[in-house]
Amino acid sequence: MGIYVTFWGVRGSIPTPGHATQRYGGNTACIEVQAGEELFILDGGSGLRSLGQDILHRQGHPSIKAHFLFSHSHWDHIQGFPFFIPAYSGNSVMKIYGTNSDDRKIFDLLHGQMQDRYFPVQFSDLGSHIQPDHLKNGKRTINGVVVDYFNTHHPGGSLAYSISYNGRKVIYSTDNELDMVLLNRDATLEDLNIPRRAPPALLAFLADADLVIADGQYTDEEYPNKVNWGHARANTLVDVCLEAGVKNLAVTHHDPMHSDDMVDRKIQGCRERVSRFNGDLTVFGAREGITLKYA
Amino acid sequence: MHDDFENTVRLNPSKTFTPKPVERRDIFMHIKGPGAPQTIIIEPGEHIIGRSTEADLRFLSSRVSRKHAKLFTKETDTYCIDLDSHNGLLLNGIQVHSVALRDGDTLQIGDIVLIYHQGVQWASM
Repeated sequence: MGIYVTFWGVRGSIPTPGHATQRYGGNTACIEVQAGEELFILDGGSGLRSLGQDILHRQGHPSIKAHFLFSHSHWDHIQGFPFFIPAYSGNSVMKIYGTNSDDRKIFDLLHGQMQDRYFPVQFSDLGSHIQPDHLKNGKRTINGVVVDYFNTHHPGGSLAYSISYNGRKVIYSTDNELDMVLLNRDATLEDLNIPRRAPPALLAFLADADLVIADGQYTDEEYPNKVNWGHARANTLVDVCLEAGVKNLAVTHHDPMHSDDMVDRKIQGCRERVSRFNGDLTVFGAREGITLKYA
Repeated sequence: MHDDFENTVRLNPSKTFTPKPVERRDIFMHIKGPGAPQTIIIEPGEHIIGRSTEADLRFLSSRVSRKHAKLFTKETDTYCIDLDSHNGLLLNGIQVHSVALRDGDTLQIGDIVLIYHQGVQWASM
């Protein structure tokens, strides 16, 4: 058994259905990670609704036992939860993780977004067993799966997660303005061609990952007008992954204004940068409906 | 009073075109590898792709596993899933375990290269 990663939502900010986004998909953040016997759901954007329907289709019933790891509570990361069919099943057990025993922020916000001012069904009316849990302030091992987190740079804060199992490691790091934490930030804004260097703690977190799924919303040309919006330049992501020895990079949180063709061009630019630095990193655009296997 | 619609052609209801729904047919353009070029019509249902005589879509290549991949339909999407093949399943150059295919995707199965085109639901007259 290894790690299976399925993309259900890869769009940033707001769902963007339509022909222009048909290939990569228009649903907001949701990634399914099956590690050994354990099911992890990373973020609950609108893609979570599709995951719920798929679970019903593949199992023939909607009941699940799952661990929810939310990066943060902005709309595009929680809006799918009220539409997640397994949440209505009396046999489902869903754990919502905070970083420590006092951290019930996400659990409370999921509760809050289902108040009657926002949604017709109340959180307390969901039939499933939804329980707050936590990562014990650091690495937590769940049935052989090691889960770790890292604080990233985003307005209001955001968390990156590492899931390791059976010698394989997958990182999810969305909504992270990586450019703000670069050691040579000013120089990289002046000269787009020099390698962008990340702090050692971040490199250690990413080190030797089989797959990094990370926010690379902007091109170098777009970024100067989006500073402090909480998202990274895709090329910055490439440099940091190269330095950390990452094997595969799935660029996600595609800009809602980006068509499929624009995402293609952004990814092509990333690949050219890898070549220019003689790197060994496979880069692709995260796309709904793809499952990757690391075993 | 001027009738804005006086020049509108009004169809005789008895002659109105009534579309008959016809099942969608997706295709693969087989552009590289043994047997190319050819066009493969993907019939609805599940199909094994491989080298075996039991495969529904058979490619005679040593780089294709006996049962390499499976095609199937779920809701409106056509999926392709790797069956633990030796050389894997490549989507647009990236190794994947499974994929919901999109129009224009390139699949590589061993040395076989297929371009997927999603059919449209058309109607006969």
